[in-house]
Amino acid sequence: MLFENQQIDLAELPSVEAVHFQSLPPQALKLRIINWGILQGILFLFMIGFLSIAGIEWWEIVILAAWMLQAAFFYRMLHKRFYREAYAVREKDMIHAKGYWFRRQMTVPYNRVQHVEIRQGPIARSLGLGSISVYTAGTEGGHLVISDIEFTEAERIKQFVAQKAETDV
Amino acid sequence: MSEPNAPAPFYFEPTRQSPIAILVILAKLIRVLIGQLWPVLAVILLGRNAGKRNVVLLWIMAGVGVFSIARAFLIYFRTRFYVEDGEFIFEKGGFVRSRLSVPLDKIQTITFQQSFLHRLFNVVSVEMDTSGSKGSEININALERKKANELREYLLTWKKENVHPESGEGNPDVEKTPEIPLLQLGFGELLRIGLSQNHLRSAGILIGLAFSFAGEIQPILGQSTYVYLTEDLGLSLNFFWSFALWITLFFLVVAVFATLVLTIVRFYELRFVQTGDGFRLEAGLFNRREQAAYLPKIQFLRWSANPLQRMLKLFNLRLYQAAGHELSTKQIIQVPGCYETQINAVRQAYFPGSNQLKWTRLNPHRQYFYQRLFIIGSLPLVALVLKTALDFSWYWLLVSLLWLPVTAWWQWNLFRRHHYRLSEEGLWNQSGFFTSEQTLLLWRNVQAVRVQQSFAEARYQLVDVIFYTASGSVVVGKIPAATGNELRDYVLAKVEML
Repeated sequence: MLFENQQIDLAELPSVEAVHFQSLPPQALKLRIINWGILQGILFLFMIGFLSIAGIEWWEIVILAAWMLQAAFFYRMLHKRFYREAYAVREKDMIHAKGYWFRRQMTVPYNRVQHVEIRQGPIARSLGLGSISVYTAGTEGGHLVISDIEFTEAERIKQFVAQKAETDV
Repeated sequence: MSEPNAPAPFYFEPTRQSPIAILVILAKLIRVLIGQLWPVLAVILLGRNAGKRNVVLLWIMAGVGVFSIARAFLIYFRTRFYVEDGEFIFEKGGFVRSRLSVPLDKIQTITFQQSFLHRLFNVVSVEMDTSGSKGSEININALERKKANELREYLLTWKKENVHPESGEGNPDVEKTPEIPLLQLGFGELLRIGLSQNHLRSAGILIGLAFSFAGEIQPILGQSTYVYLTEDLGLSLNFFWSFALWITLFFLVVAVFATLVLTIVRFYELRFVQTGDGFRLEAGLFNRREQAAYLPKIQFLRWSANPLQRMLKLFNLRLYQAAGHELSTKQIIQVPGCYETQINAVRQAYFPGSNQLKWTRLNPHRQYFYQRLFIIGSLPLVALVLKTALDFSWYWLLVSLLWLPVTAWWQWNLFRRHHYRLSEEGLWNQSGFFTSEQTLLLWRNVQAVRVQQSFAEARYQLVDVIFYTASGSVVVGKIPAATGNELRDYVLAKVEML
């Protein structure tokens, strides 16, 4: 037992463990694969440009193999990470969990929220996705960012959080 | 407000700064110009056939001078400030005019600073951080000391009376508590503080600099500096090592002296007082700073002591304060040379009843030790062994042999001294082997909580819990996942009840 003699009954504490998490929409996976493709494409072009200058030698095969390996690795990681990512909007706070090897779970209480921001890039727009950032006064990364959820959902969350932050403070 | 019959305070009328502000603005501009243009100036002044150029230069300088003086006057006459309808109005002038109005409750911190010029005329510069966006800071270049005090008093009192008690911790009965001086540093104490700083670190930095310097002059000598010293100067190997020893000693002395001077310049005539609603620190030889810590703005406390300081029973105290919310800047007030009584006074003010509370002690898991031993001990060892095997020397063999035992001893001690204490109201961390450090955090200052787990921690079912405050974060690392989750849920519930 961690705390004794406390005002809050631990058994009645709302536990994050029991929360039903919402996972990201399938388009988000599509968006991330597109982003992966763009990044790898750029890397590939650079590599081809470099290799064409240098002429063909044995170590170039090694570089090519290394590129393929990392591309495959990140493609796989992208999926693993995607299925790990989830969020929950609760009565008094918001939770965002992500990461495969390094798992992170951020919780921001509404009564600490300073402002909420929605962002949408060009590719995300075509897929109807957006990102929501919930900022607190916390420094050094004390905010919550959920990338690639449905844009309408992001707007709904923003409204909800703004209203909650208003009434709670 | 306390004296109804007194004439209306100056701050309700549009007020100009002290005329000294003209000088201050001028001095600032000159400093910036010299800082930016000194290479050009040096070239012009030192260049050949300077005679003809000097005339041109003189004209340019005269032009710049006239322009700067005109600008300073313009800024002085166009800058006014006053309080109106619960807002602080700041009209800034110059060639571009602006008018800034900041609601009084958005003013976060008020800092007084005195440069040498300010001290000459007994004026202060007043900086106010606001919780607005960037560019909404208020900076009054110069104001008479008395007026500045009155203004600060008014703003702080207003805040106390009008801001609804956010936390219930602020004492409502304090109207104007007398200031209690907590710490006053004389010259002797400053010497003691300066001497007990971390000199090994400063010496290390200096030696590093010297080595990089040796690398720099290598091309000039045409060979390695070591070879130069041993062969060309005819130094024997033995002599080289004793030479190195002397050099190290020399650097240590220089480091001690340098930190001593820096400490004295920075903390000269330090005065640390407890005010009705927080603390105030005044210090500095050339630039006299005056920082106020408003109690509800203090996010957490941290105090530390290295072995020398432990012997002298001294602590280095830091108050982490929130400043300008959205700027994500933080303000740390450092008070060196505190004794336990001062630490206790600050602790009591920030966290009343921290002694009476029941604290539950929690230790990090051994994985803390394993992981650090692996990263700091084993990985460099592989490199060291490789180096010894490829390019054998007794020196590297010795280093390789000693590396693991020494790091193991060091990391084990670090691990043994690292623990967390938890209570209903807050967290009390202790860590550090050479320099021991304690952190005290009230749960109500937590802004957001993060629970994280690396793949190495997952093997042992451990998590790190990170508490974000408006002035940095505090970590409770390597604790069992179940405890970590419970802790997170508890702190969240606590914060959400506020």
